[in-house]
Parts: sequence; C-alpha cells; structure tokens
Amino acid sequence: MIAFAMEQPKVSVAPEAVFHIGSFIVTNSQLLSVIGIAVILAVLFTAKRQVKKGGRGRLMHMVMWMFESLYDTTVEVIGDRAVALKVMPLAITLFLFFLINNWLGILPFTGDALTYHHVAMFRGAAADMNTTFALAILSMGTAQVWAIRRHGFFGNIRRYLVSPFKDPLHSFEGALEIVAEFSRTLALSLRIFGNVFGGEVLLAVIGFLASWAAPLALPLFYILELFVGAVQAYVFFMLTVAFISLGLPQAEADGHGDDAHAPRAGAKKQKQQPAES
Amino acid sequence: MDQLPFALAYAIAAAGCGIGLGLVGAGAVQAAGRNPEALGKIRTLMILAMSFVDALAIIGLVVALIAKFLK
Repeated sequence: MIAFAMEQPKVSVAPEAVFHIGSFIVTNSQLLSVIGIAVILAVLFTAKRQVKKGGRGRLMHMVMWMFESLYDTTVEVIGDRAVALKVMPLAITLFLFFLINNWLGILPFTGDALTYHHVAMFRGAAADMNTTFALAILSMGTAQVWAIRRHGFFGNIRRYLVSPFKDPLHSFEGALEIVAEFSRTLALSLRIFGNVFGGEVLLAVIGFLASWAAPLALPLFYILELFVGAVQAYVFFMLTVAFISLGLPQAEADGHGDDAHAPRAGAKKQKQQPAES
Repeated sequence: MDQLPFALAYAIAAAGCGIGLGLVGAGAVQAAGRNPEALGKIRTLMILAMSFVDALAIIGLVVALIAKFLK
C-alpha cells in the first residue's frame, strides 16, 4: 500500500541489484522469479500428492484441466501427437513460469513497497528484459533443434540459403526468413516484457493520478492486469509451439491421413500472424 | 515541448494499433454474425489476435519510457 501513496511513481527500466554473492549480482527480478518457481513447485507437488491419494481436490482438477487444454492446443497447432508430447513440457513450463510470475509481479509487496538499502526488493520477472530475452532465445533455439532433427543439418540450412541461380524467388524468401528468425526472437521477448513492464508502470501511474480515489480506481486496473498477465503467458506458449511447428516439414503431417491434415492447415494460418507483427 | 517526442512515440504506435484493433474486432463480430455457434473459438482467436496488435502499442509505450528515463 505504501507504493500507491508515494509522491511520484519511480520508473526504472532495468532491474536493480539487491545484493551480491561474490561477484554474482542478484537483482530484484531474480528474487521474485525464484519465489515464483517455488510457488509453481508447491502447487504442482500438492496436486501430485492429491493424485497419488486417489482423491479429489480442487487444485488437482485445476492443474489437470490446465494441462489437458494446453496439450490439446499443442496437438491442434503441431498436428502430430508424438511431436506434441515432446514439445509440450517446455511450452507448458514457459506458460506456468510466466503465468505465476506475471501474477506475483503485480502484488502489493513488489515495487517500492518493500525496500532493502533503498532498492526495491521484488520486481516482476517478466518486467526484466534479460529474463524474457533469454527465454525467447531458448524457445527459438528449440525450434532450430527441432528443424535440424527433422530436416537434417544441411536440410535446415537449405531452408534459408537457396542458390539464386536455381530458384531466385526462394533464394530471396530464404534471406528474408533469416531476418525473420531474429525479429521473431526480439518481438517475442519485447511483447511480454512490454506488456508486463507497461502494466506495472500503468498501475503506479493510476495510483498516483487517482491519489485518494486509488482504492476505487485500482481494482479495475488490477483485474485488467491479471487478465493481461494470463493472456501474455498464453501467447508466449502459443508462439513457442507455433515457431516449433513452423520448422517441421510439411510432408510429415500428410502421412497421417486426413484428420491430421485438417488442423495443420488451420495452424498454418495462425503461424503467418506472428511473422507479420 | 520537451515531452513531445515521448508522447509522439506512443501516440503514433497507438494510432496504428487502434486501426488494427478495430479491424480485428470488426472481423470477429462479422464472423460471429455469420456463424454464432463458433462464438467460443472466435473469442479465443480474437483475443489472441488482439494481443498481437496490442503488443505493438505497448512496445511503443516502452520505447517512449526507455527514451525518457534512460538518458
């Protein structure tokens, strides 16, 4: 609550160092992401214990519902159950990490409410460009690994580098594809960073502008931010899966008959969107 | 007058995104009008497409903030 009553919102784009372990800098974003991981582990292990007891629990059903619907989405986009099962763990881990951290990042104890030597102690994990960029590189790297696994090493390179004498159009397309891979990585990380960081600034500014009416105005924006946090986590998950399926050869889905073909055509349309944005 | 560049950095991005969001919403409403049974799927797709468009405006906001606070 102290954060909302302050005179002017303080905006820092980069995370600040809270303390050092040797020469390793521990920033406030890292502290909150460690807490987020602990929360995720606690939730999942509680759900696991409920499953083992064979009993029922709200948490267990919630986790199972989430996993099932995310798995269905993955199968729908990739179009191959075996590949989807292997892609799913990474994608759902990223989703959970961002979901829990986005929600933790706007709780009242983050920001300037709790300070340690005049430095905010906690800050949303995705409000740190380092985290989002690292995870975007991870997901794009996984997409490359899948492409190499399916096309072969030289087959993967042939997707980008085509001889201009054989096929001038595809050669130009391949060159554009190289640029697109980098811009996708940057856009993927900037999208979630911008939304989460922008959301935190928005809350601080609304709290500042509304001053004494903040208790009335802020809950609305809080609901908005909870929604945005969940949607952005889902978008990150969705794009990771879509980029991985982009690298898989088209012919593979054709071998599985018509029912595998149909979702693939729908998935291809979705994949075009991120490339343009 | 000093604040103008930062305001413009957001305003131009938001103007384009306004048009984009309008197109997404119009498309979703038309699709729902043609096929009301698919409303659930259309809503999911609409929110997904909106978040792609939204991201550009928010990147504009972040660029403005970075330019303002990282001098």
